[in-house]
Amino acid sequence: MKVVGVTACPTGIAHTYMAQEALEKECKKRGFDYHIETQGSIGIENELSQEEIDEADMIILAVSISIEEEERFEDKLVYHADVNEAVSDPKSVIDKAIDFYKKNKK
Amino acid sequence: MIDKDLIVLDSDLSSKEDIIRFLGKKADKLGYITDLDEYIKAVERREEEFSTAVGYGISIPHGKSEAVKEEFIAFMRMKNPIIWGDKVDEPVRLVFMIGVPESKKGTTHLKILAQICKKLMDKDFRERLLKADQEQAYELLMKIGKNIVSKEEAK
Repeated sequence: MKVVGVTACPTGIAHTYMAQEALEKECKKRGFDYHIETQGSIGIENELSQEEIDEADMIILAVSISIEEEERFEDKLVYHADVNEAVSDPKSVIDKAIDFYKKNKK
Repeated sequence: MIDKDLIVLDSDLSSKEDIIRFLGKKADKLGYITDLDEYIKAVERREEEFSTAVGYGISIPHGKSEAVKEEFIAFMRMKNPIIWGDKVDEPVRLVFMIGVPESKKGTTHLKILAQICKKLMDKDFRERLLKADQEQAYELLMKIGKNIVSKEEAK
């Protein structure tokens, strides 16, 4: 399972980075391949390439603001998660994303 | 940005408002803040958007404001778990209060803050903070800072 995602929060100081870490830990635990980009006060870090996005089995946008370079995700099936929940309950976010893909993937 | 005087262990304060003001005053005294009330307002505005009690016994009140001269992080460990605002289901023992200037000057400090936030997701790190004395807590936080600085210099 290849998972890519973006995390971003309004001030871009804390949650963005905690959410990245929490999602990475949860993906690691499940043995998934993962790459999580952050868009915070430092700017874009750990940036996702279009190729990675195209190849991903699951795309999780845990963002509470509009993000930069959103066009990379156009026409893709994307699971929108709450950035706060990604920090406090990453397990539930990944579970819900998996369910979402089961139901919606053609 | 990481200061021994901004590490307060085993405080018996019990309300979010008192804690924010207490730590804010300390940061003000050390010259990190130009206008304490303005900074506190920024922190409270952020709290109103969504509580910064994120689970794991942690809260991370933070404010981005023109009233902040230089990035800082303050750490307070509570003597007993407290209720953070209206988040009754998630008692908090570790409080990290962050201040960031409105206009960014450099990114090294922001990277250190980001790295500390990431470390908070690590159970071992939290347990060490729960047991640390002031010197150890300072060392734990400083180590993260030093790692970032040496990475930046290696670039």
